[in-house]
Amino acid sequence: MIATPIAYLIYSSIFLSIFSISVSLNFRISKFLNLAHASAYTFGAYLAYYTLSNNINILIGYIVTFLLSACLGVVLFAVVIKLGKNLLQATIISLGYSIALEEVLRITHPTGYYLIISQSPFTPEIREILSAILLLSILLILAILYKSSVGIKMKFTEDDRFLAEIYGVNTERFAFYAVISTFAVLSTLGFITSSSYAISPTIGWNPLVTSILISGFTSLFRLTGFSHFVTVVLITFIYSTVMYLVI
Amino acid sequence: MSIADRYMEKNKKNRNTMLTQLFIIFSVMFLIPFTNNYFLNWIFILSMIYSILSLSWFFMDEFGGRVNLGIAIPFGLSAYITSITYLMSNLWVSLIFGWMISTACTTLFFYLLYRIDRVSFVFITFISCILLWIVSHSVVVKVDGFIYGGEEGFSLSSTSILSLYTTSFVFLSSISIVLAMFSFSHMSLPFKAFRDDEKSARSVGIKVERLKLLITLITSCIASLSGILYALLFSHTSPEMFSIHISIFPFIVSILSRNSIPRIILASFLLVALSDYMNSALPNSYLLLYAIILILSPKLANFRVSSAILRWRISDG
Repeated sequence: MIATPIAYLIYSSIFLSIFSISVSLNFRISKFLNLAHASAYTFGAYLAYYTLSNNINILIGYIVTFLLSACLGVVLFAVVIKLGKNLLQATIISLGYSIALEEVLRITHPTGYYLIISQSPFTPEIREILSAILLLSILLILAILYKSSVGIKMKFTEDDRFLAEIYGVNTERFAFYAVISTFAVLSTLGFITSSSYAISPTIGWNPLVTSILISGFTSLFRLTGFSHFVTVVLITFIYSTVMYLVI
Repeated sequence: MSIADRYMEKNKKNRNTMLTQLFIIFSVMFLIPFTNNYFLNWIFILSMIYSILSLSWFFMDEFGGRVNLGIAIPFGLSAYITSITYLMSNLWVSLIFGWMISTACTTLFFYLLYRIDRVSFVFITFISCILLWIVSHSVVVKVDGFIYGGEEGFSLSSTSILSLYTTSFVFLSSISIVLAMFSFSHMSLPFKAFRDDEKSARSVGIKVERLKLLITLITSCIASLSGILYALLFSHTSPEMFSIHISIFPFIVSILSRNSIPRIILASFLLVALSDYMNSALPNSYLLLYAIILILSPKLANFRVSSAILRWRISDG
């Protein structure tokens, strides 16, 4: 399946869509650019390496990755709330957090790169299917949320956080959920796709930068709610097609 | 007495104190080559190069009001252009060409970015720097059938440690003295007015566009110079010259130094020495120190109010 160019295009679009939705959701709800997403992704890939090299059940490894990364998200949120008073400060804190996580991984893993292609049960086909399921689940959850009464509050927070707070919306709670859920999703993505490349502490930066550019471009359309995230997916597909044709 | 004279009179004492501090620092630096200790000389050169880079960052922050997290762009670009040109010509031509092209390109880039707001400026410079870091891994050049570059980077002619020390010393001392004199002269007033409020500066007749061009030109010029010195010190240019830790180094220095020129030099020396010590104990552990400083930066700003951080707090209301 992965051998055909079209399949590769679809796979890379799905991968980038998950990353871009996470970056965008965090930015719109939590109101800071979470640069620690790069290390969340890396963290998931390293946990996949641990799981496979220690012959741990893949499902247990997956659940542990999800829970541990959610915990890391909680720690980041606590630090940001305690120290970061505005967008720039919170972003700088997330950058520090990202570097700290990466360096802990680098120090504890003296070998530069790790390859788990032969050990991984995630064949290219399984990887594609799991990534597609992950993307569809995210979109479904977002669609349900935005259709519910919570969605109105989320849209309000996206539009104007200050005004939302005046009208009694607990924006901090939404920010908390946005940080931990995006952290967990990206670690999961790192876990699933870990067999497709050599694992090193800086693998998360490349997709993060691309996702920031895609999210930034999508924000020009000034959409809110679910339609914004659908546009993110569409733009990611266009971006992947253009890159494929150019390169 | 004119406004300029009154300003000069008021700042005379501060200026003299700063110049005395710089004189003491440079006197110590002047004596280092006489120790004949290779490691000490090497670490001082590296610290001087980082000090020059931090001073370029300081100039844009102090007089242009912008936090530049893409300062590694001129730093790495100058080294890359120099190294690539060196494959086809002699060292002097490649040094001048690399410095000029890098200065021109980054001046234009930063000047265009001045059109966006302060917060977006931080993000875009940072993202651009990471993009260059990613792209630089794929930069390869084919000369006489041989392929150079990629992850390995490019080689450059080796330079004697004494000549590199002298060059770095001359550049650092002249740049810091000129910047110190400029900070306390009446010529810095339009820059400070522009930094604090662009619209007000425009309304009193300050040619804002010219200032923007000057700020970006001087910043790019100094940062490109530090990049070339860095490449000469290691006789090598690699994608790591665009890496995140180069970009955040001046920011960390500004947190520790409260944007005073002698303190910038001392903080750069302290960070380089500490990084080297930590690196020898545990490779790359110094980046953990950088990470902790970044995480605590808003808290540290309560004690060390760098002008950039002070502006964050003002903009925060």
